Amino acid sequence: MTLVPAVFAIAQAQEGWTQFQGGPDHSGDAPGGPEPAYRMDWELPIDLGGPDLQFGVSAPVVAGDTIVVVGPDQIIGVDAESGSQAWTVDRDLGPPVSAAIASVDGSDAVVYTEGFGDGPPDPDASPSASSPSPTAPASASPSGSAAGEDGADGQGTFNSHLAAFDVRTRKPLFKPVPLDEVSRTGVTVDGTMAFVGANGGRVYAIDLTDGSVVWNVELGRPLTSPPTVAADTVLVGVQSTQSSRLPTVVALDAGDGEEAWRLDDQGAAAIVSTVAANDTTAYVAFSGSQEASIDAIDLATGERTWRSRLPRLLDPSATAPPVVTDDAVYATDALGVTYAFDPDTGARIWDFALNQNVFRAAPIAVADHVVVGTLDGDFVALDASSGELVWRSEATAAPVRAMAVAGERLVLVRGGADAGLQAYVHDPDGTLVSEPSPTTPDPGMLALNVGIAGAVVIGLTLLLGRFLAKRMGPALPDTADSHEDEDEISDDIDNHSDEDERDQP
Amino acid sequence: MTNKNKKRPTGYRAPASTKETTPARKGILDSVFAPRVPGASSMPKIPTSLYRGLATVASSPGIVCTVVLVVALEWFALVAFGSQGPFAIMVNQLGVPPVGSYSDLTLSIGVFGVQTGFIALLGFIVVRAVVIAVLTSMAVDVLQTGKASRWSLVRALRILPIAVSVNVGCLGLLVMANFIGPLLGSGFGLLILMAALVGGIYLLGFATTIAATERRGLAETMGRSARAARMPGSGNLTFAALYVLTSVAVLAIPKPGSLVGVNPSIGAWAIALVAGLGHAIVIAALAFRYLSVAAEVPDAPTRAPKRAPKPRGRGR
Repeated sequence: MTLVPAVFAIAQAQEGWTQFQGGPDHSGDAPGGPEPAYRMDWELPIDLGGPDLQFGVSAPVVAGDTIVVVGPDQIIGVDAESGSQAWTVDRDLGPPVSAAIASVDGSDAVVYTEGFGDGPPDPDASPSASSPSPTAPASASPSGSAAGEDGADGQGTFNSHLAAFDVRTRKPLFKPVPLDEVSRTGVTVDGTMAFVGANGGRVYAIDLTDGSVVWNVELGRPLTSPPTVAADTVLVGVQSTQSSRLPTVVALDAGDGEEAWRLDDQGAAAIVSTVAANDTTAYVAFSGSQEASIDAIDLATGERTWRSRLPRLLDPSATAPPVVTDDAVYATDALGVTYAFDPDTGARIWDFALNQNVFRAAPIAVADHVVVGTLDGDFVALDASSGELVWRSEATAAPVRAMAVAGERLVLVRGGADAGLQAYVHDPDGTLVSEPSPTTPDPGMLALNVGIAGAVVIGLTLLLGRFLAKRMGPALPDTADSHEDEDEISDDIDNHSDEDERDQP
Repeated sequence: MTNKNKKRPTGYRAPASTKETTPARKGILDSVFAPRVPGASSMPKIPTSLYRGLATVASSPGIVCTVVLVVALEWFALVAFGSQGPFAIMVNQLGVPPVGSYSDLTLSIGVFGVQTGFIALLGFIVVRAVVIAVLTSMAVDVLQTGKASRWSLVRALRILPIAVSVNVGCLGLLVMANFIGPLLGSGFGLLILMAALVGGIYLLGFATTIAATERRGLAETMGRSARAARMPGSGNLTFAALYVLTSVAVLAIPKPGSLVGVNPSIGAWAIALVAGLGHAIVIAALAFRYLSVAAEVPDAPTRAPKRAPKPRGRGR
């Protein structure tokens, strides 16, 4: 009898959008989400926070009917139905990166990182420097810590932790787990294991039932994107440094942290994205100043199965992974060109050029559509099979920073002056369009446009030439030299003709 | 019957010959770094050159149509190879090397990637060389005879090896600038690149015209181009700098065709075609400038003959 709710709770936590880009595989695929067209259901302004009010909130994750986002100094729970703020839990000031929802002992738990190590970017502006970091409702901190003036946690230790609390009671699950450096990766959860990376390159595996560190591995280079878990393998994108110029994907055994394989970029890339995966293959974006690529890697062997080159930089924040569905792999570059690749061969199926900048907002696949949010503040839906644009939102001044799917709602995190959350639902009365990409050649239009432009340019230039020719005399006073070539060539022809004539009997 | 018996027009002047004055074999650097010739040259002024270049191009349907055809065909080819644009980069596609070479570099890496792009660059070099050879040959013919003819195409074949060499040399210059710039510190990169672009046009700008009008070897053609450029009072450095700055400015300013896409608007096409004609005007202007002073360009200095080694240990 007691098993049923527990199983249901695990299923609930693992089937929804519980982590960055969906689940532990960060595939970004939500086939059951709302179809375009969309209309806004609700919006919730959330002021920017942190030092100099420069931090927004993280990419959303969903726990049942609650949307959870991480702000610089608090975690916010939002009711998905109404859009009202359900609760907040304070955290030590830290990078606002994605939390993850885990199912522990039958209850949903929010697992997150906190703390700015030796100090936030501007310690004087840190709210947590002067007040304890409590749990909800007010005083007890899940981390049990308060950042001291030196950025330490009040106990003389480095202020960076992984912590967790129960969604329903907001009580901490265990004493916060100290990390050796600040973490900006966000948390990935697989079952009751949490995986997190620290800035310096250490990956931690933490048992969420008791907060114990099961294993940790030092990779020695910066980690900026969340670990990915697929087929009992933890996949980590390791950034390049001055001494190690190639970004790398490292695969670790989820059970003991032993390195299974590693794969360096083979091009001229400087950064590696979050890894996205299915059961057999990992997909990752490498990006450099001159080109980028999407690479497919066999999960079992670490062999690169294909590599598809892109002409432009992908998301320079290095967080946006490719989107992986059964039918295709999608990626959007920094100029808003979205590509669809065959997941088996890497052949480009289609591309669509939005010609709008995309930054940090990973595209997501929703109900046979790819949804892309832009820095300009609007977002579009592309047909997953044809690549044509079928719907576009109205532009706003607030850039799209992240997207998620909460049941029948598409949830957007917006930044800028109008920062906050917005939820969109399917609009049955909305109008769909069918707009081909500007990168699809239109022979008729090409011929017509070049024909008209060419005729006008040729006509006007030759008219000008007539006018100039009448006004100007010969360019050079002595032009006899020019006939030398003709003379020489004619001579050659004549000589050959003479020889031919002589050869004839 | 041959043309050898043709009567020469009145005032015929035999082309400058190197046979009378040139003796010893010399290297290209000897020519480049030769001392300046005293006195001012009769090199036309920059506005006069450009005006003549404009007249040359505009009065030749062959040149105008070639420019339009080349820009259109190159774009179609790029799209066929998978380019997504932006189309706006085509404004420098007919640029005189190394301005055009820089465009080639950008396009080949953009379309084919860094590794394959350097191999594909060979194709771009050949295409550019053919285009520059044809345009130079036609411009020279129009300047000398008033119209381009089928002989222009025949002569373009003769120019081709020199045009390829100029392209390769200019590309080397750009690659060197790319390596040296960062070594000198941030901020110097652009400066070095601009210097390479100006230097390439300044030193090698006349080479194809020389190849079209005189029968000289590669080293002598390059050297003569540099010596012509360095003629005192010629304003060639200013000419090169103005051309490079204008090309960069035209590339940088916002204009139709600046977005990713392969179906340029009529406006974008018109701008690219007018820019292409602008480059053709510069090619014609360079040809006009050289032809105006061809007789005055100094010959390469001769190397002093090697002294016989002195016998050692004797005659002290």
